[in-house]
Amino acid sequence: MIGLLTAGTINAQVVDTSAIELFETLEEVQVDMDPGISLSKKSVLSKELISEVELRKAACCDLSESFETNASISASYTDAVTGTRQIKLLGLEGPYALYTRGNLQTMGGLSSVLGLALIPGAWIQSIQLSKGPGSIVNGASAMSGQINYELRPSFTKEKAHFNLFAGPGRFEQNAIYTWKQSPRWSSNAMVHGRQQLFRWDGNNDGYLDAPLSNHVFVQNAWQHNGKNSEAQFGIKASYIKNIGGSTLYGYPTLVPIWSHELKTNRYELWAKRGYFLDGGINRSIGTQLAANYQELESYFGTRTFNAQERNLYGNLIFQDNIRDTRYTLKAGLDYNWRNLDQEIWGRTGDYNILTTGAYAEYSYVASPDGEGLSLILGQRLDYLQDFDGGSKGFYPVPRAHLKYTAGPWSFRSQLSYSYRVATLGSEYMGYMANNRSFEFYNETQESFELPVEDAITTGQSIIFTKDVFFKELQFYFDVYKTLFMNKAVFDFDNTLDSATYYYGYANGAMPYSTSIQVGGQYELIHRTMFKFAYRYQDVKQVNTATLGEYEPVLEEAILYVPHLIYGGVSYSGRKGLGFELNATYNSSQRLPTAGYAERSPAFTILNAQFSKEGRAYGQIYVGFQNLLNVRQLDPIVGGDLPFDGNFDASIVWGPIMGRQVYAGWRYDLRFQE
Amino acid sequence: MALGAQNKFTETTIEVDGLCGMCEERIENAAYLPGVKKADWDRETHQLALAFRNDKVTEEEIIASINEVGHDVKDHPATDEQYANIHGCCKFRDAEQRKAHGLTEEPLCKPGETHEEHPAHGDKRKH
Repeated sequence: MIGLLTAGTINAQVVDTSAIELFETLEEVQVDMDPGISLSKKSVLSKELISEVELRKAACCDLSESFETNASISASYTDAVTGTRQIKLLGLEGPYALYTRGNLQTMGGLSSVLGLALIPGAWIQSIQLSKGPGSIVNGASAMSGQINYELRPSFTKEKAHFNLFAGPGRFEQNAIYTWKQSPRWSSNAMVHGRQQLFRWDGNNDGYLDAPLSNHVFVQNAWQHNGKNSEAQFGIKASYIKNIGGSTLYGYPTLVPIWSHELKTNRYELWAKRGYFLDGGINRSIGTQLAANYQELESYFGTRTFNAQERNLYGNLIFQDNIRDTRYTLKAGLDYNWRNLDQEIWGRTGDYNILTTGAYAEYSYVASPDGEGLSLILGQRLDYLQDFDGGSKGFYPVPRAHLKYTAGPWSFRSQLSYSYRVATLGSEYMGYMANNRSFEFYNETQESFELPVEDAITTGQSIIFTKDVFFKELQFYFDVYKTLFMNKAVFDFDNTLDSATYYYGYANGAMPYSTSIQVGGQYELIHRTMFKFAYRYQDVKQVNTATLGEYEPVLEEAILYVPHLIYGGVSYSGRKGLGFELNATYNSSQRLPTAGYAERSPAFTILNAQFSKEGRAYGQIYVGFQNLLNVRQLDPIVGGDLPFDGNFDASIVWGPIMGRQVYAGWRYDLRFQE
Repeated sequence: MALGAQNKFTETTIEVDGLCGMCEERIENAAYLPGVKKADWDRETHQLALAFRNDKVTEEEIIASINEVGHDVKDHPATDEQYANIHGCCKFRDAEQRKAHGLTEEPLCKPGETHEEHPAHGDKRKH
């Protein structure tokens, strides 16, 4: 079916049982020209496939900005100075999701928030979004879901891809070049540059709306398709330098100014191998290896945050069919070592942890086209060691997913347990942009407890897909609930000049997040796709002021959007003309009690984009972000006296930049065969 | 030719020559004229499944639009000028390209063949 118009078409997915786990999604996206967002009807897990076509509908410059046309994910700034965006899924912050590159773990720990800026949109081929904890093969985290992105493969029709982008003071360049060494070997190199060159202060508060920045990322990846094996490996180096805060940075001033600088280098190596083994129907063995090193130096006014992280990850996966392709067994062993040295808030937030795990997963699919019953039952057992703090323990992680498809209806249900280690510092980097003192409830530097958060997630969803007048109509409805046993929280409510950190079990007061979403899409007018969604969320956190009481109480979490309404129209003409209009209504969000208005105002963001594609010149696009010019006018509180007042740049509920115009160019050079 | 739910809908399939995913996109995009509800080309069988409002668009108009982007429709080949616009890797009349894409049957139209001397294709090909 045609390009954009059939967004929602269920493309020919490789069923879980027929491919080596490692390469499963890779084959999925090789189905050519799949359009827009499609909800998987076949996968037992609740998966949304976001294709390149969809990614092109927004300004989209890195992974954190790739979800503007998606109601499941909200993106917001972590603070008003660093320009860092973070995403929220099922009402939980970005680090509660698992990020994978081609199903191999990537960002975590030090890069769990900042890492999204390291993935340029132009490098991305597609994104797979799973809501709720997914397969245990990828680990025991993924509380809110899994975001799996596939970079442009080197086995492709495009010899080269170029992209240039210009926004207000912001410039980006991307180039990808592919070599085909032989029918078996191929390789590509990707380069990305991004600069924020001009000092932009649209709200005249004396602080930069977006930090001056310079990003350079370079990557080289290899692919090998053997007779009975597949391999991928790569190397990536990333460099970021940002300068934020006062617009007077670098100029001589009479009074000290508040500024922020951040410099980080990250190096990544990864390798995946898969072999089909003799005997059995799809018997295979796969290995995943990753090694990451990152160093970060930064300051926020007088506060410094420096860190180095070393991370090694390995996973050995065995897969086989039992009797026939309907029954699949996966089993494996993995380890994840993360050594983080950091200097933060005058205390150390160091950890040196090793997780070793063993897992087994059984899946059943009644029929290859997904009709009838399908299920996945998984169990893993992890042993978590903290070499610094000495805390260690076993974590059994059970997960169950169930799907039943009958004609146009698909029902899914899941029940999962997950745990993760929260990383003080990097996950709360936005909270450093203030003068608050940090109080660590019941904790001293000597008795620092490794914040192991754990939760139970339940999820239910219904998808209805039917051809109406030869065009696919799709509706969905889903409900997810995440209930935390142990959770780390920063409570900003108690006083104006402090934030209380608490980690642990709150005697019966279990923090939770509920997310309900309903939506649909249909090509109502010729070549024009209409999408809508409504999302309700209810997120509760522990009120740290009541922790001393016998029964602590929960309170509404700050800075999340309880009601969100999304509407999108997308036109794609016959002669390569495209038009997109996306509107998102965000209801009022709760702000910290002390020193702020009780709630933020509700606001609507309207984005529009025009594009024209032609064989000679590629694709040219021009867009407007935030057409209604909605802004949070005072994102920085107490900016006049940053060193002795109640300076706070951490409470950001809305856009800092007003209406913006951007333009870009994309060009694909195809192989002449 | 089958009738749709209402008489104003026509459902039919026509044979269109092409090779790859790029061709598929081009063919379907060309066929998707106002009034067309469905245009789905199968790379294996070369059949383009169509559903359209017969009061708004005719089969001839759809075929003309497909020819315009350079693709041959059974009994309605594209002109050489139209075919010349097709991307190098999609030259479906070329024997080498057909082989590279795993096609064994003859093209609907051979390179250099003019419209006039073009034979009626009829039953030569099986799917």
